[in-house]
Amino acid sequence: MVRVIRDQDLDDPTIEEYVHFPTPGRLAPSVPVVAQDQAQPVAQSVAQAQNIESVPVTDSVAQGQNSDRVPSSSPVAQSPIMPPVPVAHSVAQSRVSLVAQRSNRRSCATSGTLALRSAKINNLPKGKSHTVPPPKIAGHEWRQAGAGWSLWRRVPTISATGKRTSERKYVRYITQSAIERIYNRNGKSKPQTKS
Amino acid sequence: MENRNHKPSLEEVQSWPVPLQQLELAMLCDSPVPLVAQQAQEHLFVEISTATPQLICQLWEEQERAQAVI
Repeated sequence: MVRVIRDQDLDDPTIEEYVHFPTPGRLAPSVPVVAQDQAQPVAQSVAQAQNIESVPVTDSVAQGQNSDRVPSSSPVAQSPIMPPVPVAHSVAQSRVSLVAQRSNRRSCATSGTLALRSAKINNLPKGKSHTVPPPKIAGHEWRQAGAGWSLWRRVPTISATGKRTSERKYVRYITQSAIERIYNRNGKSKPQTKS
Repeated sequence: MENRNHKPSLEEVQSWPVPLQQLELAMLCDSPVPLVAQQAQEHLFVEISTATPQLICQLWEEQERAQAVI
């Protein structure tokens, strides 16, 4: 939190002091450095801000005890200097993002199949989804013929081998414009009629 | 495959399902005879039920008559 530097700290350290030095990576460069006379009020204000009880570090340092420069129980060595990196959280986040990317790929890969399924559900002819299909008529079936549709009536018969089949008999040819006109009539647009 | 429509008889039109009768009326809206097309369009956008077979046959006759004159 707060590290106090005195004049005697600037001298060359002994081997014993090297042992008590923190490793270079343990201290972040953003450690505030204050003079000795300013250490007490700054430490108190920081302690009040973080609801920490009175810090004994400044007292021991003020008495010139070099062995207590970085005590193991002091808040300076504990960690507001070097906050722990949430490694597990970041790994979990990256896994979640990977799963999301894979699911997006899967949805893109199946979009073609979904389009075919929706075309089947809507009973649209393959490759001609822009054309409006004619209305269904019981006992009849529509076949595409040119630019329109031809209506065929199903006649159930029994073949020579005794199998049940159905013959088709041609009924009528309907253009695509007639089908669209019927849908427009049932829908919104109506042409102007004579009053 | 047979794609050309012939003039239907009244019995034939009466045997058709209603959606096909309405589609036939919609087909007559594209008639080359302007009067037939106009009449078919006027009747198509009015509620029609039992009058449809008679109306279809009437429009077919008018169309054939007009084409014969031309």
